[in-house]
Amino acid sequence: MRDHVGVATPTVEELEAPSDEDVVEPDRPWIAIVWNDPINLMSYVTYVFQKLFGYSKEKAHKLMLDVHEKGRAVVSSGTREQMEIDVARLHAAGLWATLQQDD
Amino acid sequence: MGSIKRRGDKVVVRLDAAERTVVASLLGAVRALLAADDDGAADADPLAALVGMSDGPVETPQDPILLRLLPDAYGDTEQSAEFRRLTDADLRARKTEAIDRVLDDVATADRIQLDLDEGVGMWLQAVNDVRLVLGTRLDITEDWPDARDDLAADDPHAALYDFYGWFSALQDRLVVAAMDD
Repeated sequence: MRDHVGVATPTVEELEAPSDEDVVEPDRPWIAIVWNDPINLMSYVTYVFQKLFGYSKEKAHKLMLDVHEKGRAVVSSGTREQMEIDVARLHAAGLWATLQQDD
Repeated sequence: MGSIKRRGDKVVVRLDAAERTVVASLLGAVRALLAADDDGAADADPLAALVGMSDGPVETPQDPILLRLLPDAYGDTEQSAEFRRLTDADLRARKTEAIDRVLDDVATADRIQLDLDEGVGMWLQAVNDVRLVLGTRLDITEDWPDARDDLAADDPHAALYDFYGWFSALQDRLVVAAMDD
């Protein structure tokens, strides 16, 4: 099977520079990002987006392709607390996810 | 591989005895990994333990395999550490619960009926964790079948690739059956 999502395990250096905690602006939303990795199957990533976020098959598929082709995709946004919950659920599903304040 | 079929609102999994043994042994190995590095000293505070929080720092896993199962949530080290302190026990428990569910299923029947929500979700989660462990161990790339083919006949990694391929096929067929509408 070769239809694996190519997910280069992002090393710490590859992650974006963290937003500076000291200048948190409350009006900017937080976002949950899923990163590409070579292990998670494209079919499974699409399934997870549908199940966790209730997205349509089309939207889930599009987000999965973004992860696969662009290396990452923003899969949800909201308060920091909401994004922490989403990232925890994505980690439970085995996807590589982080949260940050939108820039 | 045995058969994986959609039957109404269930996914029916049939695996033969050898396949169930493989599932049980690899899931058991992942379960042991998740339990091994547990911070036993955490949770001197029983209330914190009750809600799955540690009252002390939880170390970031040094082992890349464990780190793949329990990834950082932030690009920033300090924020990741704080998130880990609050959620590490819960994430390990969720993963272990899924593994235990599958171990229980394969121990009791050769024809396993899974609910579309809970049952299939648990199987996908547990099977994928096996794939994460094997894939990280093999430093897998999208061209892994070529890497497998290039191995010497007696290379012990061949078996790991074969397990990886088998669990990938299982995962994909479970997803297809779950999404068949």
